[in-house]
Formats: sequence, structure tokens, C-alpha cells
Amino acid sequence: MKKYRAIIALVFVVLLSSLRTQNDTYVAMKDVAGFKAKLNQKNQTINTLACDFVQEKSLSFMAQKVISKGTMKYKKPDMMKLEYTTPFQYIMSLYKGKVIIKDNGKVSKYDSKSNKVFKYVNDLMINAVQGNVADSKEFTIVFKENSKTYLMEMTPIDVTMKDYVSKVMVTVSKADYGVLKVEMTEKSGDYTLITFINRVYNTPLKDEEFLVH
Amino acid sequence: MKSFWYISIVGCVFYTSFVSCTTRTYKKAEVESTYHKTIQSKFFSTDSVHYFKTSIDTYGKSLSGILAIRKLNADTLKVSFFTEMGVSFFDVIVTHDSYQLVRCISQLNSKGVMNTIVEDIRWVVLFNLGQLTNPVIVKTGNSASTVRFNYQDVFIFTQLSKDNQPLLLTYVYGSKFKSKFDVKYASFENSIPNKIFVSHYNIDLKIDLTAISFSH
Repeated sequence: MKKYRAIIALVFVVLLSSLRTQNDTYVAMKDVAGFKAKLNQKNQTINTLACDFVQEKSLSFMAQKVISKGTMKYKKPDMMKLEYTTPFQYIMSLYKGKVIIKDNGKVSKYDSKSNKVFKYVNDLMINAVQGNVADSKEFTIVFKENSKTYLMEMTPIDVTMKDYVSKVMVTVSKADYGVLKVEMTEKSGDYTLITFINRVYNTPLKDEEFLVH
Repeated sequence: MKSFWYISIVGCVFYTSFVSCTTRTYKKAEVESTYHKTIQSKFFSTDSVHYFKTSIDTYGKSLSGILAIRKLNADTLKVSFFTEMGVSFFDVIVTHDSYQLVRCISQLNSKGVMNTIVEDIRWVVLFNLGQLTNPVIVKTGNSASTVRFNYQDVFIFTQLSKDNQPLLLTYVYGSKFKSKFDVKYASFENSIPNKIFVSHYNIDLKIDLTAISFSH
């Protein structure tokens, strides 16, 4: 009888935890002003960020997601370096207004303003990584939360940009107000989700580390 | 001083035209005999999807990203080209003799550009092999066996390996048998080309493709 009780208790616990997971859906954020203030406070303390990332590209006509991985470095105010290591090698560095790319052993540089779409995505990434989007004038933002994270659902206001990115979702940790995920959804429904893992804040990073040779 | 600049600029233009648009012809390729074998292609034999890390170089500008090609059925491909960060350049549905653009960034959205890219993609994955007719072996001066096919109103010349896989494919047009572009299958993995180079002769366009796998 004791054995049955233990099994029933176990099943009950599993069911309860699964119910909790299922119910951990996002609801409207209760204190948006408080969230913005704390996010802003966190931003003030961040000078650098180093982490790994996993990028998932979902294409409607592909059964499998296209997953690539790499490392990311950020330094205030305008330096960011994404280094893809798997399954291809590719570096994109944003360095003081320049975009430096290393692809197939070849390094190329251009002005980040030369292409509106890429400037938009680059700026978006830099601002999102900092969590510096909550007061953006370029988006209408819906603020949500669940038990562990905050979510900013951002819709571009610019009509041209809506052709490329119809929605951006930035997930922020409730524990440390760090940005955990950035998801960019395109008009077609295809999306790219970048998850930042092993985040280390304020580790010393020299400017030269953002140069690409 | 003015004449110096004039000569320099004309010289550069002439040199660029000469280098980038060198004429290559197959006019002197003599027909030897009819070709009776079947050309082999392992594309889509084990998987319906191929991914390529792709670099496009044209007139001093470079573009790179991931090219995803899925065979939906025997007569249709779905192709998506997007940046390494996931931003889409274009999505297109390709059949043997037409295509339908699903979406495309404005910089690439012109008939000339997309016609060229789609034709290149068809040959990169040897999608139109079944459209080739009248195969004949030709003498070209190369040691590799070369077979000429009729394709729509042009010719396709292919240099074949011993197991009848294309090593080099050339799209040839006009009464002077001028080469329009080459597709070179430079290396293979499990008999599937994994390093491919496309070079155009009439325009300054080079495409490098390296097969990649997104196995999880």
C-alpha cells in the first residue's frame, strides 16, 4: 500500500510541476515603470559582457532548425563582436561605427550606415544586448512577465523595416535583469532566436579585441 | 594632366573589361560520337536539403550568407538565402524553367539579378540534368572526357569524372559558342560536391559555395 501511495504522490508531483510549467505563460507586466527603472539601473553597471550564444533560424519549409553557435563580446558604448564557430567560421565585429567582417579568411570593412537594414539589425542587437530598448521610439512595445522572466514584445514602427522584421522579442531575466534571448520574427513567420549563455559581466576587454585581422 | 587622368581611366576600364569579361568559346570543339551513359548526381540522394556557406563577389562588392536549398518534389526547389545572423535576402520557389519570388530585399530585387542567381542555383545542385538532350562526346583538348548537351536554346558542356560525375560544367550560348558561366565542382564528400565555384564571363560575378551541415 505504501508503494502505491509513493507512486501516486510521485505522479501528483510530476503532474503539478508540468501544470506549473504549462501555466508559466506570459501575462501583462504589473509594474512597467519599476521594470524600466531596474533595467536602466542594470545598464548603468554594465561596461562589458562576454558570453556564448546559440542561434536558431527557423524556416517554414525546413523541418529542422538551422542552429549555429559562437561567442559574443560587448563593450560600451558601441563595440560588439559575434564570432560564429559552428558549423561555419565567421566574424562580425561592430567597432566604433565600422562593421568588420571576416569570412573565408578575407577581412572586409564598411561603414555601418551604408546599408539601412543591416544598420537597423546591428543597432537592434547592440541595444538589445544592453537591454537598452525599453524606451525605444522605433517600436511599440508590449511588456509582459512570467514567474522567471520579463518579455518585451516589440513591433517596428517604420514601414520599410516591417518588411524585414515584423516583431522582436527580448527576454530579460528576473534574477539579474540580464538579457537572455533576442528573437526576430520576419513577415513570413520565419524567425531567428539568439540565446545568450554563460554570461560574464564586466570582465576586462580591450578595444583591440574587437578588431579583426 | 587631364590627358593623364583620361588615359588612366580608359586604361582601367579597358583592363577591367578585358580581365572580367574574357571571352571563352567552345567553337572548335569537334563532335566525336554520341554519349550513351547517364550523368550521375548525388545531390538530394540521401537528404532533401543542402546548405551552403556562400560568398558572392561582384564588381568589388561582397555578400555572404547561408544558402538553403530544399527539393520539394522532382520538379520544384525551395531556396532561401539569408545572412549569417539570420536576416533573409530572398526566398524563391524554383522549377526547371521558371521561378516565383516569395520575398526579396530591394537591393537584389531585379529581374536580371534574380534570373542570373536562379540559373546558377539550378546548375549548382544539378537540378536541370533531366532537361538535357542530345548528348555527344566532344574533343576539347582537355584530357577529361567532355560531353555536350542541348539545353533549351543553348549548350551545356561538362567535363566528367570516371564515374560520370560533373567536375566542370559550362553554359555556352550563341553561334560563336561563347561561355556564359562555369560551375566547378572542386571537391567531394561522400560523392556529393562540397566545394563549388561559379564564375561568370559576361559580368563580374563569382560565387563560392561550401557545403555545411546543421546536424544537431
